[in-house]
Amino acid sequence: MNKYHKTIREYVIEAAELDEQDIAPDEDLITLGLDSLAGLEITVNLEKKYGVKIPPSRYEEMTTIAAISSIVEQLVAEKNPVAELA
Amino acid sequence: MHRVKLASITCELPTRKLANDDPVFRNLPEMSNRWWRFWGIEKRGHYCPERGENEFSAARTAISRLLLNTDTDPKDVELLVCSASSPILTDSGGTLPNTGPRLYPRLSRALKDSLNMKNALAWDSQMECASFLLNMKLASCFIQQGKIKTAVIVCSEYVSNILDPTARSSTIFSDGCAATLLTRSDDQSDLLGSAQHSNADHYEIATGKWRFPERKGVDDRVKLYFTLQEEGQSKMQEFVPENVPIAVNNALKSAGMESSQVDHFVFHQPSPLLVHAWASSVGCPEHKYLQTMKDNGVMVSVSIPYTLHTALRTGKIPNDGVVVLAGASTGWGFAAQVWRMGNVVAC
Repeated sequence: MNKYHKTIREYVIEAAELDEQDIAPDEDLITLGLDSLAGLEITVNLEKKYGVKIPPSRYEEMTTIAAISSIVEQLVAEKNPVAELA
Repeated sequence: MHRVKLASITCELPTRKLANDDPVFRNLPEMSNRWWRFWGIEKRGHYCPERGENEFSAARTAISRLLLNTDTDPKDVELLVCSASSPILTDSGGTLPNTGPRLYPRLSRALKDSLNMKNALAWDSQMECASFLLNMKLASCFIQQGKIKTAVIVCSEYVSNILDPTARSSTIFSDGCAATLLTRSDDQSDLLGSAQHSNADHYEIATGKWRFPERKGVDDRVKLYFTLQEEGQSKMQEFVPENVPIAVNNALKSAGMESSQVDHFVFHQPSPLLVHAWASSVGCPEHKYLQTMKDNGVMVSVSIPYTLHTALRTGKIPNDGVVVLAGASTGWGFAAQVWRMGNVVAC
């Protein structure tokens, strides 16, 4: 788990209107009911929070909280490599 | 080629606004927070026919204001292009012998007669939410090619007339009217570039069709209703977020411009999430666009001109600024235009 996990988990619960259940980092979000509408809401919230835009070509990778966290970590590092290393 | 100028713009909205908890929505199924969050709407305007409000009266008022504020003689209007997304027209201002609801003659015929625009070539077009962009492009072509000097464009939506009071989609839409005056340019104003494309693969997501209300027991008659598929809201996200940026980038390319050279973006207003996604995809920062759906709902083809009108009235657009107009329509169509603005009378 990286530092983005907690925030992304909150976004997932809100966007998919899930109960406060324990979602495992590698649990498949599609089976939990996340659809493209929830995906749009999550990506917009992530962009507002971290200033990074997940490209549409990576949407298919966004199947677990761990995967989303990894994508965000990578994009933030690419955007601001010095700050991320620190 | 002549340059074309957006000389004036005005809007006419319903006097009645309905909040999300208005009794008119009492027959809706239970609504999720997700629904309200996605559309981002708190109020929408519905015409009061008992006050004489309808697609014709709003358009007549808007055009009259437009001509008055620009000192334009109705006889000098050479082209009148109108759009109304509801197939049913309710009023002709006494210009037609039949006073009941009608399918045609459409709005342009009644407005031309009522306002004595006797020299205007008049027709109606339909591209739903993108009708304003289509009409602006059509009228601009006539002016740029030297065929005419003055055109009036009207988008007048009485969409509450075709909303199913038992369907969630009835909370989305709003009535309203916008009118613009386009003229041969006498300054730096011009339509610098435009692009449009369409794809009918998903046309069934949002349609107008004759059917029973979604919920039985309220009004069990077949009527013409706007119809959003059960999964339509989420299906739209599979192609709408990416296609408006495609149109914007193509329009900018045709204008020979970069996104950073644009002073203000005016997007169609379907949802704050969609508008944000469109803006970020074309490099448009948050301070360069407005969102107007919260207090006005989705005014179909009036959303873009209303948001443009608001931007002009609040000083968001400099006098010689470059503006991008962009949006999507059911069916589905996508369009964008790049305008160099001059001195626009926003009345």
